[in-house]
Amino acid sequence: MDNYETEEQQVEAIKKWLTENYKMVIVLAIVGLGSIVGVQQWKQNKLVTAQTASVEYDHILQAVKGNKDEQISQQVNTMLTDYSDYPYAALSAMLEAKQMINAGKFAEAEEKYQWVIANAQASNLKHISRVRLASLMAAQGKNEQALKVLEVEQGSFKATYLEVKGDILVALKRTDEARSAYDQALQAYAAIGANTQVLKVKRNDLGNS
Amino acid sequence: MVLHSIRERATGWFAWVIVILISIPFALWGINSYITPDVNPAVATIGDYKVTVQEFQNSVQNESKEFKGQINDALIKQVVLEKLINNRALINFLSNSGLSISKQQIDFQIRNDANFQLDGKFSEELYNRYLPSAYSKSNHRNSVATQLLLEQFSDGISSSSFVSDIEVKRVIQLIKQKRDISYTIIKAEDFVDSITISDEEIKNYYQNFQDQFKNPEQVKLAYLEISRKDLAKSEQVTDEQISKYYQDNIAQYTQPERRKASHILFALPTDADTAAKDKLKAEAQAVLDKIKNGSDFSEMAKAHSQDPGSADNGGDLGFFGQGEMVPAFEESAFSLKPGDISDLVESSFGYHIIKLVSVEGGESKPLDSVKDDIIGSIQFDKVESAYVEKVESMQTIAYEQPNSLEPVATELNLTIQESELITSAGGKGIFANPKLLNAAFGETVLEEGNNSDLIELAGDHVVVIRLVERIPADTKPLDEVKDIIESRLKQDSITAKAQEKASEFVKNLTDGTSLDELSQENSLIIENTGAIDRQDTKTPGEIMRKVFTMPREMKYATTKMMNGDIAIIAVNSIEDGDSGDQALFDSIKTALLQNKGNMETSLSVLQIRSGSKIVVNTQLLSEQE
Repeated sequence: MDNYETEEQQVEAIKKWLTENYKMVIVLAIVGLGSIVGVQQWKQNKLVTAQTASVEYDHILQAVKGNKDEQISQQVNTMLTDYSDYPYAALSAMLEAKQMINAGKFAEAEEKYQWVIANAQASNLKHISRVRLASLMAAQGKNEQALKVLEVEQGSFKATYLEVKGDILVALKRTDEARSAYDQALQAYAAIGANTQVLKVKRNDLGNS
Repeated sequence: MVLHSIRERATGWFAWVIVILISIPFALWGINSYITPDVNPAVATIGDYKVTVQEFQNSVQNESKEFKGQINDALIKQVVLEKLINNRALINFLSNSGLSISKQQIDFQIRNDANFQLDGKFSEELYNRYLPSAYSKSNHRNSVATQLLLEQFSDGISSSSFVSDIEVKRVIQLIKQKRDISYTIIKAEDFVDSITISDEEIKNYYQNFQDQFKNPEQVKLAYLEISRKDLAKSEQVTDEQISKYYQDNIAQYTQPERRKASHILFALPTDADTAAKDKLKAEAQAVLDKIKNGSDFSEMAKAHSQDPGSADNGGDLGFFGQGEMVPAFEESAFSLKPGDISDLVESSFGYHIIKLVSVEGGESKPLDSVKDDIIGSIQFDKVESAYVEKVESMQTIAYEQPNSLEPVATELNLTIQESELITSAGGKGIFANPKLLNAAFGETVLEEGNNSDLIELAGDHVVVIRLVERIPADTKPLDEVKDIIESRLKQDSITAKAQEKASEFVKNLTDGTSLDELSQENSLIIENTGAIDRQDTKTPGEIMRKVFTMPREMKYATTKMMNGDIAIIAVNSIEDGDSGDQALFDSIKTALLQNKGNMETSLSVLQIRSGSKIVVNTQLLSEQE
């Protein structure tokens, strides 16, 4: 940087620069302020949208939580189309799937889980939906298909993936593989300090070899 | 150089880029965080959120109350930190991913909060009383919003969780399974004649497991002590001094007074005008007149008091001490005699009619009963400067002439005393003090053989120590431990013999010999349990643990009992749990569902946490004593 002889010279230099460039400074200030206002506006809009979704979601949640015999598919559809970026959409789909399973509509429930797996932003909801989808398929005897669903990167949900995998392998009578899946699941649960009483019973039933 | 070239291009397109780049953070994050300097260091930072020392300590305090002495402080801190981090990582994630709670949802939650309800309806007055300022209301709204956010998420996961019927059936089959077993015990004692333990074996064991036969290092210490209490004993105290001390400190010898009262409250809304106030006062006065004319106080309280906490109990407030009630109330309650009824008392709550029920405490202990304590205290006070002086010269001399305690002893007229032999685990009296033990086994005393620093024990009591004798750690001689080793080896080998026999029997059984034949040939006593489930308490625990971990196809097994005997177990039949019982089915299903929901929620927290930026300030954390 240049060294100025005196402060006056420095002030002179700044004044000179300003007279040459004041137009640009004004334009930049307007652009800057404009973008601040714009972003705030955008945030505000996003907040209003989120809160509308929040209220809608509460309604769906209460209906399923209270086991109410209430039609929520219309509302869930709105959620999935209008608010698909928000976790509210994925959670709503999962809640509707639960209602469908209770009503014996397994195929429709599978579709809801598939929607979450394909569209949700939150990785934990994807993991949960995959594990649930596999359990649901297994409950209908579609064991091979269920195993395929589980073949993914598993993040923090490794233990539950492995437990369900073990359950399916037991149903397929592939005992050696089931044993190994359960053993790995037990290890993964132990690493996070989870209670594994039931899993241990299932594992013991398969014997030692 | 960089700045130079920026300046050169400051008139061109480059300036535009710079200014736009600079305006972005202001637009996105707001200006306030740049203006407010960061003065509070954070214990941990999760994303943009800082856990302050204050927040951390508050949480530790709350948690400590809950666990009261069950787990140690270090563990509580760890637990609290984990909780705070998990919670905040979750909240950050939820708000960043677009979950949001509207004003209406918060309002709804507050209006339905039982704390703010009177007769099943929301009461503005109660709400204002709990949360008097705008600040506290806004804080409360924020925490309600956060709570609702977390609930939306965890409820969504746990309420949508499902367990299929085949899962439930399988679990019932297994956990309600019954096994019909027979068992017999092969006693280790029976083999005692068949074994001998040679000297050679004992010697080998001794050499292989020397660690078990160690004597720890021991030291004998010389020490000088100064105790303020001992110094004080010889001080003279006069009767005048005693009675003056008693008068000056009378509060210390007096049980604080507590009073029990009832009241009738005529509550005044905070925004009441003069007219409303006069009306209320007249109403209160009317009730007071009735009471003065003989109406029953507690009946009137039930009928008229607007204090929800006490009205139903006839206005009873229980016992309270000074400083617990609002000033106007306290002044009146502490001026009444038991049974008296006050005139109208005005406080920030409204008008009260107070009836004093009884008084307890307030008496002072007589001088005679506390005389000895007082003498002790006066003596203790008197020797303060003498004590400080002695301690200082002890510290100086012991440090300047580190090779002996003699100079200190001579100068201060003290006697050098000697301890017994002690280990680093400590001894009796002052030798149990951890500070003293640290010094005794520390470098200065043990390795260099110097006087220790001044060691402050509890209650104005100091010592200086030095080493007299050191007995290094060694191994106990073989002769001393021979018997122990022999009996251990004996136990091991008779158990091994019993195991050998038991395994042989199991082989016979597997090869087709029946249990009856086997028991007759070898005169074994067979126990039949009948069909037992996992909860059975009659069968020995060691056997129970084995029985239900035996694979389905395994018929025979052995297991070691606590006393070294070996049990042979024969599974006669297995009967799976019956999933036909609807009530059982439903209860197991509910339990499994709950487990699953909880597991999915906690794993979600872990998953979210693993994707968050978390910094823990370990140094600051370790300073939080």
